[in-house]
Amino acid sequence: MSPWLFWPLITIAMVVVILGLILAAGFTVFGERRILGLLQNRYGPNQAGPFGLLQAIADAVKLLTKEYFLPGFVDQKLYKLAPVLVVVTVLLSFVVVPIGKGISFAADFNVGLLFILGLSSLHVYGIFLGGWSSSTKYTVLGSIRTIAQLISYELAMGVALLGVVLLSGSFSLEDIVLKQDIAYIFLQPFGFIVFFIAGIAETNRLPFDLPEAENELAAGFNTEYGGMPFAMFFLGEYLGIIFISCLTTTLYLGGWHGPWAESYPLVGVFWFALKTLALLFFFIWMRASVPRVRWDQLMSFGWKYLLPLGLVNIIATALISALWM
Amino acid sequence: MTEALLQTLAQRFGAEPYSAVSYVGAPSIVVPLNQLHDALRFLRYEASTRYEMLVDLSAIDEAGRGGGFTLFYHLLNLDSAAFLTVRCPLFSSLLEVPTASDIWPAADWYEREVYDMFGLRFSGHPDLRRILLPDFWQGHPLLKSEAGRATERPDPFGYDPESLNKILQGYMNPEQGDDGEMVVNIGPNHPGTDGIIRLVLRLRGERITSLEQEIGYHHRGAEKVAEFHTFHNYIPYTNRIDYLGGVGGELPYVLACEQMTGIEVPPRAQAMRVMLAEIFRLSSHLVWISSLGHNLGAMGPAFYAFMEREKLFDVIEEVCGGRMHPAFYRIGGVAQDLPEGWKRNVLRSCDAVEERIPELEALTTKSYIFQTRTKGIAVYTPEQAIDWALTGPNLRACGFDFDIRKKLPYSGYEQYDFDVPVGTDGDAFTRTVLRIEEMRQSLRIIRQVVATMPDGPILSDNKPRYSLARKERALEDIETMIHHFIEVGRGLPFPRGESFFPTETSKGLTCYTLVSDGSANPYRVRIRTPSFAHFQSVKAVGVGDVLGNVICLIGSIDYVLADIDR
Amino acid sequence: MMLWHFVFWLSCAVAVVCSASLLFVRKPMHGAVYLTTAMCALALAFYLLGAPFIAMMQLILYVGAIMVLFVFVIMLSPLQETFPLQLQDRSLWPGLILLILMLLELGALLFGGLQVDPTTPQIIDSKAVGELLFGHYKLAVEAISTLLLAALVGVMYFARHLQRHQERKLPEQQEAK
Repeated sequence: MSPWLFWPLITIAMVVVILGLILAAGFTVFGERRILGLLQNRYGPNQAGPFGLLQAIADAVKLLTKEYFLPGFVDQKLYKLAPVLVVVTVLLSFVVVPIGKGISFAADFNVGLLFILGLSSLHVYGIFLGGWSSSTKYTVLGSIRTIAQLISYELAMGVALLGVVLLSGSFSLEDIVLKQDIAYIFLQPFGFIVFFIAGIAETNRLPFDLPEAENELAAGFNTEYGGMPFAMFFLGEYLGIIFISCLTTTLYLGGWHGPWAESYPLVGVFWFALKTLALLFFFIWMRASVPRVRWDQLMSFGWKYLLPLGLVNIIATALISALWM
Repeated sequence: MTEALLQTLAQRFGAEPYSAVSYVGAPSIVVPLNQLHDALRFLRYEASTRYEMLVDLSAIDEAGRGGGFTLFYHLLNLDSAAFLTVRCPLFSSLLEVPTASDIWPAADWYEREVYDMFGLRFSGHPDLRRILLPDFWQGHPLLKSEAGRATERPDPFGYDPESLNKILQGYMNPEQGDDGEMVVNIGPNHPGTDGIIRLVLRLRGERITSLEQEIGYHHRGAEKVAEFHTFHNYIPYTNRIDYLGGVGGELPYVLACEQMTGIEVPPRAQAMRVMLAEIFRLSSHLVWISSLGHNLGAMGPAFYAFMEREKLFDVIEEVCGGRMHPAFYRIGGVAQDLPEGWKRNVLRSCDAVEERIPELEALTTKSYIFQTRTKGIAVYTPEQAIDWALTGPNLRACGFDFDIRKKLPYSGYEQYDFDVPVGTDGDAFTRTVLRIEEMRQSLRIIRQVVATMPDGPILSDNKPRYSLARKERALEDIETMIHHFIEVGRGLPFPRGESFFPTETSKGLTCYTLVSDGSANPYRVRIRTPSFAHFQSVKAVGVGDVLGNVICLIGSIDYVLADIDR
Repeated sequence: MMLWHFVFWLSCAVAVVCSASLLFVRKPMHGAVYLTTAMCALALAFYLLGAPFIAMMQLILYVGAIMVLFVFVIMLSPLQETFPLQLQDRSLWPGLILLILMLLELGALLFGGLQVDPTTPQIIDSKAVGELLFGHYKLAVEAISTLLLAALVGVMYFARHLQRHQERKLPEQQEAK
């Protein structure tokens, strides 16, 4: 394909995917509110459109039309940069996720998994720069917690991923999916647990939503944000949840694998979506059921249980694959 | 109180029994000012019955009863549930009273309140500032010379620029210093405080090195308001003191009034009072568990608890007509008889709550994360519990088996069979478990009341002089209507005397001290609320802990803002 | 392809400019952000030179771990202002001379025949890196890991020590108050 055709096509595809993802995030919010309503014996949003389906769009319009304001005491450049960083890094991460057989932007990227880890560390910069640049005490405390959480859980996550890499022999997500004749959740149960818990911590969701623990820190790192920049943080959070769900599906649940997925890639997309939605539901379920852990408990859990479990998992995986394969 | 103790007090401190007017509710002694401190110390540490807890401390402006002031201390011996009132006459507000805060740390805020309200000074007090009113307030409201209405005060509206500036300056904390400490305001508006209250924390990392509370944002002058109302008309205010406790807050007031006048409440009214008070205890605990859960980040309990609370309110509404603030009790009984079919409705609501309790437990005490957040967190030692005058479930969590409903039964509580759950650890988890168990016990009491509800009148008629004319009859004949009209408007003169009544509300020990000078209005109403003492103790436990635990602490001690500030 | 040349040199320029601006920024946090940007640009350059693994390690380790620790320290420290570069300060001169020397060397290297061509890179993948690290450089890796372990133990010791010291100090302060 000539570059003159290639680049416009890619650009269009990017725009479509980004819009699709933003919509997906909006509907995740809507779905979360409805499911929480269901779990807590109340309605949730049900007024805008049939079943309240238009709620997501109504929210987006409301946030978009809000006044953009810049508090006088903030560090202006970083304050503006932070929300952008949060959204862009998550959106970029989706590039390497294969959602069906051969359907992705760059799933064959030879260091895809490392790319994701790198972007997730950049993502955290968005959160803590947002908190730091707001220069109020709650946000700064939120930022400090973010960093501490990142240090504790990024490591555990990486270690858990190594198990997958050992089994599949590749950093490319496409190869990892293709290798999963048996979903890795069965071969790597502990790796899965460690990865998923670390994933929840990465996305700052209950029970690990310490950077924004509203009862302790008002709204944590995003206290000083409003309108569009706040919407971007919000978007970043929900894109993050979707992404972690997608990634877990890809790495542990066999990705798009499922009946007829080999011959019809679109069926694969369906299986992929189904698995991802199940994980999304789990995220929401967690939010409805558990309290928040304390800061130091989170840290000690990360270092004392999660990381050692991950390490044991790698060693066991390495030994078993060395002896059997 | 034993005669021997009285004699010792008389010999050592020149104390005499109080005899000016009749005082009911507790033994009372008068101690001269120069012996006051020693007498109090003696009573706490050396007396044969040790009065180890300072339940209440306040004053009376005696301008209408011969001048000067009277300070009174309500002391409590936990083992025998014996109260003792120590009074100290002051001839002038210029006299300095030795502080009791070195004997009971809890006296700190009470003395500040006395200073705030009466202008009495305490020598040796660590921090004698206004507590409920802002620093620039003119005058001391509970003095008889002070106006009772805002419109009668000079310039009642707004702040002058200078004072406003001063307030705003109060929020400008010094920036992060060289020592790596940071000052954080929690409140006045903060999602974790369940109301308007301010905590000024000094943090090193997330560890708290000093903690200061600021209250008074919710102060409505309930005690001053009482002096401008008749005894009967004041009832609706009393259930707004602890706005979650509903009729539970009316109970000590009407009981104190009845005790003063000698009104005997008919058994049916007593049983109704107990039933409604326990329903409100349930509802208050339900709100508490949801707010504690919310403080710890759990969304679930709030929705489940509020759903059941709604069912309780349906019953309350059916019986009383109101929901959160029914103003249902009357001096001498209750406002109206039970409606038809009440038994079924009450039992149905009880069953609904009972079915929900296991779910609440699953979301809280049985949840592993909840346990790690609360076990061994925000621990009060037994000594701290006594020093800071904890009462109610908070005290029982520290291992004291003290429930006024058992120890000094009132309103017929002695007829019902219920247990008082007692914990040992004094931590937030124990407090949660105890309150959930208390909910079960309340259900037990309610079911017994329903089963044994006696027939008969719902208003007393043994002291018609102090009771309003019957409303039903006022609607039928003109004579009663005139009486009713005049009695409601002007009030009924109550006998001279003083009365003190402690009850166990959902939060702890709520006591009313009434002083009547023979007119239709109370001369002084003193409301002792548990939340005031409980919130004061946050300072003792919070310092040295981390931020997240303090949120757990203030959530778990169950305070209500209106109950603190009155 | 021209495009990749352009991207490569652009990322190099970004890296250089960001690193240089470190000398002039006033707020430590801005410096940290510039440094992070420089790391990202370097990662891109590595990638275009055919070392994807190293590029990603640059991101994960430098951006995700080391810079985060820097930032953590900056946030916890009460210091707000830095001292920007001042040429009058004589103690800076040796450093400047070294810098100029190094730049000269770099120039000599670049113009003296070192070929940097991002369009036809020789790809060094993760496997190659791993084989080198755990084959040829095994001893060095072991030595470094031992060193790190020692550092870890040392830090733990100091942290414990400091904590105990503080705990002893805290009650004293309270008593003083």
